[in-house]
Amino acid sequence: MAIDPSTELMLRVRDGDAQAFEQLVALWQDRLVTLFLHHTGDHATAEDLAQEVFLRVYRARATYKPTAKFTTWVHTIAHNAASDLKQRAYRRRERGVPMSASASSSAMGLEQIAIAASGVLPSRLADRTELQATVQQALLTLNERQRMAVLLAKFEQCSYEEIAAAMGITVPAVKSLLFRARDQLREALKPYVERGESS
Amino acid sequence: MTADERDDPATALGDIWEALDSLPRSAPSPAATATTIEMVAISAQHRSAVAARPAPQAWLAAVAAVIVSFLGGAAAGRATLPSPAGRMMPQQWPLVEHLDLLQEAGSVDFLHEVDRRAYPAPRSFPMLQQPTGDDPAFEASIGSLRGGSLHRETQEPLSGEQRRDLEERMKDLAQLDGSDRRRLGELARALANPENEHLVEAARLWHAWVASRDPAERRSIISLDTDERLEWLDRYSRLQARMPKGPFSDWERPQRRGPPPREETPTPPR
Repeated sequence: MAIDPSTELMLRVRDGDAQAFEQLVALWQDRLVTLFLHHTGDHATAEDLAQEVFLRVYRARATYKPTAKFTTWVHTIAHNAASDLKQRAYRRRERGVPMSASASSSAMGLEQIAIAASGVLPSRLADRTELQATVQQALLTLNERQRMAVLLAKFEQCSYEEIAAAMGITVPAVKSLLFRARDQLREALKPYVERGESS
Repeated sequence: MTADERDDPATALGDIWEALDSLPRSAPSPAATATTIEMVAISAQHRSAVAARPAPQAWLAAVAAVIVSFLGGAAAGRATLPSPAGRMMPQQWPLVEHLDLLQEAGSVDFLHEVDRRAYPAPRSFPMLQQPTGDDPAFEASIGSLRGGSLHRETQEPLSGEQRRDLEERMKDLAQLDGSDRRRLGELARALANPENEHLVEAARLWHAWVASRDPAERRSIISLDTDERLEWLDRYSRLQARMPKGPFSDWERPQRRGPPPREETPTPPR
């Protein structure tokens, strides 16, 4: 049975091949940064999280078994790293440390996003940067689990089963998360979706 | 939920799927990849060092003695053999070995600007009377950075003090945020490149300016950002230009320590 390139590289990493680890980082770095960028809303945090994932991959290399796809394994690690970040942010807030930019931006209300996405400023909305910001803000209104499920589906083309495996939940739970996420995003981006400006 | 939604997340997300297409994807970045590999190497080494440290269990003297013996053997082994991280990526060590030098030098942008503005050497620092500068510690660090790392590549055993020092720097590095680590990684690569002699000269000049200040003031100078450092250099080089010439001219005399020099007054003619 043919194995995918990432799994093959990981097996070489397990055997102590430094070059394979570098190739694995080169192959996955941008994918992970993209995932975390839209999960946290902050590029520096996204890069730190990607580094954390690679560190965990490296530390766990000896125990890696190619019984599951490397993709699923790394998605699980990514989900755990993002969850740990949330825990750390919670503890910081408990100690009175100010929230990060991403956390504060996620506090933006649906109403504000709907206004930003409305036809009040159509010429501005046509601007791609503005559109990106609007969608990004809408994404940040989802809870952590909804957002991770959406991002794994969209950016990593994961199936229900793969998302469920990565997040440690059942397939029906994934469907439920995506269903609620869709409704919430649709509400936030209502004017934009109705006008079909994404095309 | 429809039958389609049961099969495909894209269908489940419906019209939102296209809206998500507007989100950008991270562009490939060789520098970020290099930094990640460096950080994994450093963090893995740091964690293994911490994990190998004995826990203080005074009430179990016998067990502790066994553990200490075991860890002593392990430490001796670690001193003579590279760690797993070291075996994998020995080329990543300059960042941690030269952390002090790199933090002082700041960034590639800063050094480019120092080079471009052609600041004078500080007069109040005797070493800089020869602007090439020969602070042994600085020159050794630069030489090591440019010629390869100190211990990892030569496989020299580390003394206990060297190992503790290295671990302290690992901790310092691990506490920096991602952007600072990337900045220092770029700087290490730039200074190690033989084509960037002008950057080394700029780092040497900046080192001389920092070293010319009171030790208590140096840390705060190093902590300045690029603009603040340049402003500091502008101010002090202007001040120096207005001062009388000479390494120990009147304006500097109060800073000298020890007894005043004996004046050799010529014998008046009879």
